[in-house]
Amino acid sequence: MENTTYQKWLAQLRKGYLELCVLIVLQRKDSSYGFELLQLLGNAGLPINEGTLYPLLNRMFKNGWLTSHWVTPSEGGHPRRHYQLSDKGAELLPQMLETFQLNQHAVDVLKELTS
Amino acid sequence: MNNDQYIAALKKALAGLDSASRNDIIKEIQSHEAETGSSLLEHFGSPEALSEQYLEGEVLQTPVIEKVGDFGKEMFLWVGILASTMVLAMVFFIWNVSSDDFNYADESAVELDSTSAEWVTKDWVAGMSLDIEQSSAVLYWHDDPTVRWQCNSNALPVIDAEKLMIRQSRCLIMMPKIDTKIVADQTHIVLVRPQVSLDLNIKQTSLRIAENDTLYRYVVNTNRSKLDGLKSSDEAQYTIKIEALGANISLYEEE
Repeated sequence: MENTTYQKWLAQLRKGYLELCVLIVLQRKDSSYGFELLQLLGNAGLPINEGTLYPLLNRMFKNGWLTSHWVTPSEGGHPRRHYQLSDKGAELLPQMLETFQLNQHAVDVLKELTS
Repeated sequence: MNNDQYIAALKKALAGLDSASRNDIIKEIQSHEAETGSSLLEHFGSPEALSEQYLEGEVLQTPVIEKVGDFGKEMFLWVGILASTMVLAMVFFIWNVSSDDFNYADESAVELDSTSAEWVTKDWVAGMSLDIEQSSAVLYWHDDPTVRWQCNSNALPVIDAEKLMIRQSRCLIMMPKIDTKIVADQTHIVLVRPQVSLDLNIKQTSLRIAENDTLYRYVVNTNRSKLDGLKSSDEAQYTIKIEALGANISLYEEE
């Protein structure tokens, strides 16, 4: 039971956090696609499964935070859906980062509380 | 389930999405499959669970009729025309029963004090529910332990030991101050300053609430619904619990 409630808490926390991380990656890389994002996030210590990432990208696209276009790799193969930061996403990212840092600061302050 | 079966099941589960979005999703997942050669079921979870992730917060289109057996395109064209006609008839009916310039939020309206024979009064027993389909209903609350209604329809409301059933009618209803469950399907409802706690289960329904300066605690669980303007207050005396599917929920504004 406790594990279930923890998983729920974790899912809620990760949702907004992952969106922020995807925006950061796309600001740094200009353009990326699902499988590459999966690897980049995993290598950064944020393992995420496909069933979470792709719907998340779709939602961010629908929100207008990302744009996308299809690119066929020069070496051939199946076209990939590449995502970029939209103007709206680029405008939102600094605000999100500031909010995240403020929240992090609040946790740090609270951890230092003495009884 | 192999990957082809997975894609087929996912397409079906995403049928409510517009075709452009659905095609992009399917193409993207096929691209991932081509790149990794992985089992989609293993990596993405079940098609149903994945579609739920995609459909979260989406306003769905009317489900597409699937092609079954040997029925040809012509048959589906006629079915489509028939279905469209029925939808238009339903829209016309709902428009007809709902269009009105009466300010429902006015609790002192002369129409509500009428003692004409058109008003029907029945006893209300605690535990009874209100069940409304394809109708337009405006609900007020009065001090009597009875329910009163005035309806324009050929199908008069029916009351039994468990519920008051209203079908294809346009009604003004005075409810007793007893906590009530309301079930509504394809209906327009206006609640005028509820003076009890309510438990609503609504589907494809327009629900408007005239608060008339009263605070309410709203507990809302919606699916494919639009919610606008309700502000929940922890200081409220009454709780309005709403389970909604494909509904529009908003505050009432005089038309």
